[in-house]
Amino acid sequence: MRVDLESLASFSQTGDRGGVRAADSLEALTGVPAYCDLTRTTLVDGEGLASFLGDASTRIEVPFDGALSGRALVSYEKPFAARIAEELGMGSGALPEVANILTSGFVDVWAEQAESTIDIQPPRPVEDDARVLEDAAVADGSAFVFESHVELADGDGTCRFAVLPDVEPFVDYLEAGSEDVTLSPGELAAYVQLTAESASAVADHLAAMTGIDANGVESHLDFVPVERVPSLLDDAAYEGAVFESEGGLNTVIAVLFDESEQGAVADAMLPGSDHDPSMAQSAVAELGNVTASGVLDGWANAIDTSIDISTPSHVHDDGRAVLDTVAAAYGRHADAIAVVDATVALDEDVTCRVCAFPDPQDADTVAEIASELTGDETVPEFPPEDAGGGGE
Amino acid sequence: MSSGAQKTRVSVADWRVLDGEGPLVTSGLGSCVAVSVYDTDDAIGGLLHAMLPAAPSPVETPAKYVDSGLDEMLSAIYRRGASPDTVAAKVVGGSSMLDISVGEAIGDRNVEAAERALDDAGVPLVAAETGGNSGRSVSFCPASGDVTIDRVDSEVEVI
Repeated sequence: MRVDLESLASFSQTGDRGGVRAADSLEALTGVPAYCDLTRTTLVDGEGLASFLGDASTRIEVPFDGALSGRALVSYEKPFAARIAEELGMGSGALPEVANILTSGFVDVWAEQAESTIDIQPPRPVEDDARVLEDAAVADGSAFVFESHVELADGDGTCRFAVLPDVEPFVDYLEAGSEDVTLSPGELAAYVQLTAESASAVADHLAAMTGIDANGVESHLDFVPVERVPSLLDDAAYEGAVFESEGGLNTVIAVLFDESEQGAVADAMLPGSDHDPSMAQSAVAELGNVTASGVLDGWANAIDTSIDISTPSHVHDDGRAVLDTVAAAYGRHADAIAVVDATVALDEDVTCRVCAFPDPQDADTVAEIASELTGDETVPEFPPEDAGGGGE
Repeated sequence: MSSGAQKTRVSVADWRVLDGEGPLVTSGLGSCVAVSVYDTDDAIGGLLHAMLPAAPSPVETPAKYVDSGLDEMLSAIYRRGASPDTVAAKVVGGSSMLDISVGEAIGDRNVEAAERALDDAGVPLVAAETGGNSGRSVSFCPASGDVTIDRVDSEVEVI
């Protein structure tokens, strides 16, 4: 059985339309322009799923069933919740209704492509994360999450909106929507394993270079419409390096550090020294180089080949502008792309974000790497090759 | 599209038109370009954040491309009452931040596409701040036509 993830890459477009529809529904309810910022379809392991539940004080769960079953989790940042309460004049009592509206808007897009309806159940507060995780869709260690961030005009704060479909009905739904599509949740786990191994390599190499062990590691495989790629990061200033690889696999890989203060990465590399800006830049480039090489070496070793890495482009810039450039580069060839997305928190001062963008044309090679890393002889079909893009 | 005196965000591959002070804002411009068009006599204007120079045919997401996005936005501006005789444009973005072979020179090509599309549409380009190797964020006031450009580690600039 082959895993056809191409349908998932193209399905990120459907998830994007769902996120936009949800924002439109909110705008209709409040009369305030609402925007859908990030939208992504994510493959994540069971442990990583917890990070998608959000940590806001007000979180609402909205179950749904019918043509598709699952649940939406709406996590309201305080400023966003306050703005909703103000606009609707209902206090915090408006938040379950807003969760309902968002969920309804999102699943309407799915329902339009299904043979039967999707029914929304009454919203309820999230009181027990463990119960939600138990109920959430996890099959062979992997789960799907459709994540959107919704914002209101002139407002602070975000509403983080995650839809978790139950795996089996979702796979049935995908298979019904496309001829010759066969998805195996077990084989999807190969890609989850690829991201986990990559994140582990990042943490190991950072620890070796800085002497600081990671105190938090997250990883997932994101499928993102190209125009949404920049929103994987916020618009804060990131320090880091961007590389290109060639040989066994063509990839663009960005190693970006979110610093509490400029120079925090260099301080970690060169403790106690009074380093000048050029020395700090070299230290960051070297750390990026070692980190990116660590990830790519793991991939190259899996398929017994070599992957060469370019001279880095040093960046100290708006994170979104950095990814904007990568997105535009790939946007000529694909409408949606896959991103190996790893976040490693070194300490309170430095977080390292690694985003690897395998060339869509090297999809088969990535599939082979994922398969080898799990010891699975079945080579899954990797997106986003020909995921709707016309190319040039 | 929206109207009113409040900050309105424009996402990547999107455009928005409004009348009034605005502003219209967009962030994270790397190789993308922001094209602002406004009526110098009336407070009507629009901001496009486009990723790529030229649309394929047929095009599914016009705002992703400079040429089709500008076409679409200009139509909306004129529907709002702006006059083709009194509109003007400003272009920001198109940087070359990364030394990568894939998508080579896409920033320059986006800027060229914006200049060409504006010329084809008969809209004078009155100011531009393009190229270089850093990212930009933009805030555009349709009433004044002012475009405020913000960069990491640089002074704010108004064109």
